[in-house]
Amino acid sequence: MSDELLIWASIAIIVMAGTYNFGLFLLSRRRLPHHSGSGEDRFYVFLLACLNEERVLAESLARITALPAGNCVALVIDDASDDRTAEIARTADPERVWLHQRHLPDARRGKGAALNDGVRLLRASGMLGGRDPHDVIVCVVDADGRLDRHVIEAVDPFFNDRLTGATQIGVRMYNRRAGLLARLQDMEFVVYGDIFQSARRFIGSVGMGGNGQFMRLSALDSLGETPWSDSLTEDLDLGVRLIARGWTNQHCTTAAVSQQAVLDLRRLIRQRSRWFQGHLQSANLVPLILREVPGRAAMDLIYHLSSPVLILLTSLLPLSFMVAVLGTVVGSVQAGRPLVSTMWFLGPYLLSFTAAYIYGFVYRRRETSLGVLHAVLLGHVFVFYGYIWFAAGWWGLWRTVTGKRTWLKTARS
Amino acid sequence: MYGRSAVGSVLPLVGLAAAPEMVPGIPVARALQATAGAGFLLYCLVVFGLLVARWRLRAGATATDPSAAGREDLAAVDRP
Repeated sequence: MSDELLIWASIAIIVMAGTYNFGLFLLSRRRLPHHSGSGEDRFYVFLLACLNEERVLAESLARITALPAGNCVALVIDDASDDRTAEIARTADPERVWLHQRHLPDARRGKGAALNDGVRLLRASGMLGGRDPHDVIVCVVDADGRLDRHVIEAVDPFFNDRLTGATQIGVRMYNRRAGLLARLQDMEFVVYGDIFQSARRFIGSVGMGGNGQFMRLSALDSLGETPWSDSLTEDLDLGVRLIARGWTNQHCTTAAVSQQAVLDLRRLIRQRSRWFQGHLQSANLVPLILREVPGRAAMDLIYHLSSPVLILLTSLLPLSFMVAVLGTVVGSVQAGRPLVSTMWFLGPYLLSFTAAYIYGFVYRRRETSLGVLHAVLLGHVFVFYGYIWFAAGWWGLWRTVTGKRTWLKTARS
Repeated sequence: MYGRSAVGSVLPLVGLAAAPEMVPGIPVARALQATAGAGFLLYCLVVFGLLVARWRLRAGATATDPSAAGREDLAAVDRP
């Protein structure tokens, strides 16, 4: 095959990704008609799957029990912790915090298994007092999750639509001022929520995250006894299966859950490798999507699930560029004159950093204290930050190829 | 997980500025870029195959059950 054709095909990856990203940015600017009113009969259960979370659990429970809505409880699922997790849950307000303890050897089989156990308990124990599962909203929150005080007020109207099966809220980093890495993770989640998730509301392909996902119990029931799979990205898996079952997933931009950013680069890459590997596992959802999901949403989900392949392919391009730059420097020295023109600098810049202005713009709308210049600079750094996916991707692929599936959870700082 | 901007997409611009034979390392850079391109063509082929598979699956489902191709309104089913 012609070398030229292959090189232009590689450029087509960037054109496709750029067009898609810009298209979603434009789509995300559209306003969504809001369902007004509230469902006063709805009951909210916050599920916290906890394995050794003594460092962060008390603060999260304090936030939940302080929510102004009276129609909610927290169910702490202690996954056989060695530390004071269960004790912390026990000392909280027993009216608002329920504790379910799992024990070895049945415990510690992943977050999905713990959540399934929690939902099984909700269904079987009578804790819900005979409430209609359609009016029970289950929310998955990480043990370090800090919910906005108005979260129920913000999410509730989405469930006025009887087809809404789940609603994902925004995700922020509460320690975003703890350094550049934390700030970039915060930017990453804001960009993901405010551009991609917001746009996907109009496509019908909103994804679920591991933190801040609100689901109707009847929607979970429609997925069978064990709604969460044992995938490394069980949240992604669940969101797709809800869509395939005919439910609508929504994204709420007016409330967020704040979690702890990872402050160590190596740990961050490891976390993203796990997500990457989870995405690879989710390839088994493709037949379901092809069969059950309507056109546009199906195309978007296929694109989303295939993004690991595109990441691995695009990872070759910066490498290629670096080799070319080094070669050009060496060639210029050998030739005794510069081998590059002004165009050489302008082209790469425009191709690589146009998105930085969009990211900066979107992020500054959330972080109004940032100056324009600061936001733009952050957008530029964010483009490079995206490259951690390349390292994470190859690591995740390696683990998949070598059959390694177990991961230690990302440690809290 | 979405496609990231990649600085490497600009390799042809290097070609505009300097003759390839004068720049050491260019063959390696081109080979890397061509590998990505070949992978992308393969990706497009697989996606095309998936589209055909989807068309056949849904056509088959419609033939056996006309309502099967539409979305199932589970919320309506669950409600009294």
